[in-house]
Amino acid sequence: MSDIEVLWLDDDSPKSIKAIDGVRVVTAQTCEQAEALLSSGKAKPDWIVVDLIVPQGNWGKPFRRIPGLHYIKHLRNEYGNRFRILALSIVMTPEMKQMSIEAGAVDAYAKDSTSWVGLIRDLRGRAAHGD
Amino acid sequence: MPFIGGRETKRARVIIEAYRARLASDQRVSADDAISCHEANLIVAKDLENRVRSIQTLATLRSRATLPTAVHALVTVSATWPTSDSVDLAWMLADALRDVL
Repeated sequence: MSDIEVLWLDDDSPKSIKAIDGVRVVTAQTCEQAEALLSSGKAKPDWIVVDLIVPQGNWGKPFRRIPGLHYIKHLRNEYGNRFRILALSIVMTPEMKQMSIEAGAVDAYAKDSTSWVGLIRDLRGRAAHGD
Repeated sequence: MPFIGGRETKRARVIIEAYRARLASDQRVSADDAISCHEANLIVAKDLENRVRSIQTLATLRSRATLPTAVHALVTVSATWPTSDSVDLAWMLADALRDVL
């Protein structure tokens, strides 16, 4: 098992998954759940993958059009550089990618450009190169 | 509110689970997959935010979303409108539907 831990924030992420391709994976289906995992220390991820259109739960008001974008900003403000962030969305226009990076993401992917397992492999590669 | 029968609900759940399985695997998911999933979600979702989030996604995929989808979403969400946060939700829903329509 790799030393890398990934928190996958996506309402379509499976609740029971523990690892993918040798990488520890913790999932959250809402921003509220992700925040609870981080603030309690139950998740100590090296990477967080944030789906841009994800339910907020009881995290943050008002309701946001692109909740994941605001949550990425929150992660950067609240936790600094404790982990690296990737943005993921079914649609990733150049503008959305730019906004994601400005919010604090290292990179941004469209779901139809890579599989989830492919994303994990990419993270492992980045970690191996010290990124 | 349009009548949604048990068979349609069951079919919608199958579509959603298939989408989630694809997402968690080594397969890519397409915009068409996402549209099918979120249209199905509008049928089975019980909480308001979940429905609004599907509308947001369909609006994001607006070039492929259909007018019946948008109207169905509006009717479905309006049927369970909450008393709190209604102003925020109204603006967000109007914004999303403007994109779809």
